[in-house]
Amino acid sequence: MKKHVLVVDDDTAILDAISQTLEEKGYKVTGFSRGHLFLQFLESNGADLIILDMFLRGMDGREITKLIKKDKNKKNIPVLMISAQSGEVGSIAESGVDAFLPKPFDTLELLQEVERLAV
Amino acid sequence: MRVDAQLVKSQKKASEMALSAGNIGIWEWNIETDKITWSPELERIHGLKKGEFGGSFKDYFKNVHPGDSNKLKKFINDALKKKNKYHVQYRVIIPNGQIRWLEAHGQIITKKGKALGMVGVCFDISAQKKIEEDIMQTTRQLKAVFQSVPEGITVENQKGEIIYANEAVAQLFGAPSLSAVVSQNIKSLFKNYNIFNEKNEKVPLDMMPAAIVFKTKRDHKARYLFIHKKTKEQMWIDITATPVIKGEDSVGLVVKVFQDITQVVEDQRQREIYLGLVGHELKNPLASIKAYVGLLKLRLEKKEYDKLSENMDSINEQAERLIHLIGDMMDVTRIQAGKLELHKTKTDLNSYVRKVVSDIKVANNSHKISTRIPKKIIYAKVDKQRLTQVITNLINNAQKYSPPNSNIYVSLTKNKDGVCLNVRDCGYGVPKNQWRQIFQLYSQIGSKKDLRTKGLGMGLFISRAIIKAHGGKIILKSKVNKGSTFTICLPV
Repeated sequence: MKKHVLVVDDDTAILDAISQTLEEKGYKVTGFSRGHLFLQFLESNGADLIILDMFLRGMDGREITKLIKKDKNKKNIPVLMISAQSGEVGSIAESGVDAFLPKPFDTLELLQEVERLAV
Repeated sequence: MRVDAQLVKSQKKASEMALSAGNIGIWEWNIETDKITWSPELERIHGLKKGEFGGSFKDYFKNVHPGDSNKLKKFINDALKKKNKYHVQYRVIIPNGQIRWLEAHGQIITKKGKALGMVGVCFDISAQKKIEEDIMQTTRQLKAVFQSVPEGITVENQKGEIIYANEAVAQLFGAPSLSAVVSQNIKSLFKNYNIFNEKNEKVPLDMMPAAIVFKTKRDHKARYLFIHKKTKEQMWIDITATPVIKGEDSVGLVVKVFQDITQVVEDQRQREIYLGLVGHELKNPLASIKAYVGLLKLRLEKKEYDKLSENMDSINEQAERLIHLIGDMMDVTRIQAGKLELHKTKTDLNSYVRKVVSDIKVANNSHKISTRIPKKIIYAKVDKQRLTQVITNLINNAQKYSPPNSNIYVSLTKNKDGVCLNVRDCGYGVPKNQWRQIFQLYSQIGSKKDLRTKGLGMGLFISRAIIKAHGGKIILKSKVNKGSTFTICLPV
């Protein structure tokens, strides 16, 4: 069965590029540009991996991660955070993410991380 | 007798020598005969040769400066009436035209209550007067300098009493007037403020620069944050304190200069935030380009050619986004440097606006854009490229902040003041307390959560600068959840 990856980024271009790349590599991908739609989807569908941008419209990726990691049904879903914001590594680690990839990243790096995390 | 005469003669000689050495002239005035006798030294003081002085009261006044003549006459008359000692300072003009300041001391000689004459001494005080005048001039200059500089200045003694202050320092600390500052203690000047150092530690007054300078006898400079106890208003102030050394080695006074650098500190903070945002904004399109390139490589390796063109279009789009962003940044720099140049040409606004709107529709058909443009052609001198930038910005904003497929209305009207272009949307609207703020640069800075989504906030800042350069204005009217109307007014 295909691994299901949820990608959350309000920059629709990067959302599209990541989604197509992962699909090309055989993953099932669902993309979201709004945080609350993602949370609704996650609640009823679950996932094998979440790729989450740090700054979303009106929402903070770190806060979302904390919520996920507190929930006993979801805390085992790995979260890969991506952001063009540098210099906030401390608070990113504190939020409980499983990995962080600064933007812009290399496609190979992304694929390696996804392969490692989505087990 | 002979010995006595000899003694008197030598005593007179000695006193003459003393008077001459001290440049002191002697005079005598016999009122009855109107005969004035001057010593040779007094003639010299008046620039006359020995025996040249005429000897009458009238002759005496010949040399007196016209500006002092009446004052001197009145003085002599008063002295004669009151029959007392007097001294007076006045000016004379000596034969070569030079002005000298003299000081005369006189004593009335009376017989049976009647004034017979006067005797006295007179000396040249020009050098002393010059020094006094120079000091006064320097003091006046310094006061003028102190009053005209934007920095606050105080001079304090060791007790902290302010013995001098300028207007700027009174204004800086909100004192009602300069007189409310001078002769007060520095504590009362600072009484409305809590003072912190750069490490955000509260600073007691005895750790402030003046106190330090009195101890160390050396200059001291430090930066402080003054927070008003009531209004909570913040001021960053650099204080430089310099000792005025008294005698050998003690500090008599301390001169303090207060420089309000609140704006500088704020600008620096904004610049740092801005640089962070710029980095963030530039990295996002670059991240997309890199991701699409990675995707292209994957597809080329798998020989899947059908989607390559679409991916390349996406790369191109992101490159355009970068170009646009850099263009905006350069515009902001140009505007801030006052170097925004317009190339205006006479333009048929009706067809121009129609064309701009239809181009925007082609690029982005997410909304229903309708135009209302009058039949009668309106001409105006505008920089078309720049005005297109403004209209595009307004319509893009309308698209960004209103639901997809909702209506956007663009209309052109003419009134007595000029021509107006309205862009109205049915979107989320702008709360009234933000109407002014959104035209300011980096207006999105402040709420960190929104940084990411709203970009750098350069668009409206640039638009307003372009419209202002045209001699026009840009107005916003908006209701939350009803929509916004931006109106550009241009002179025709």
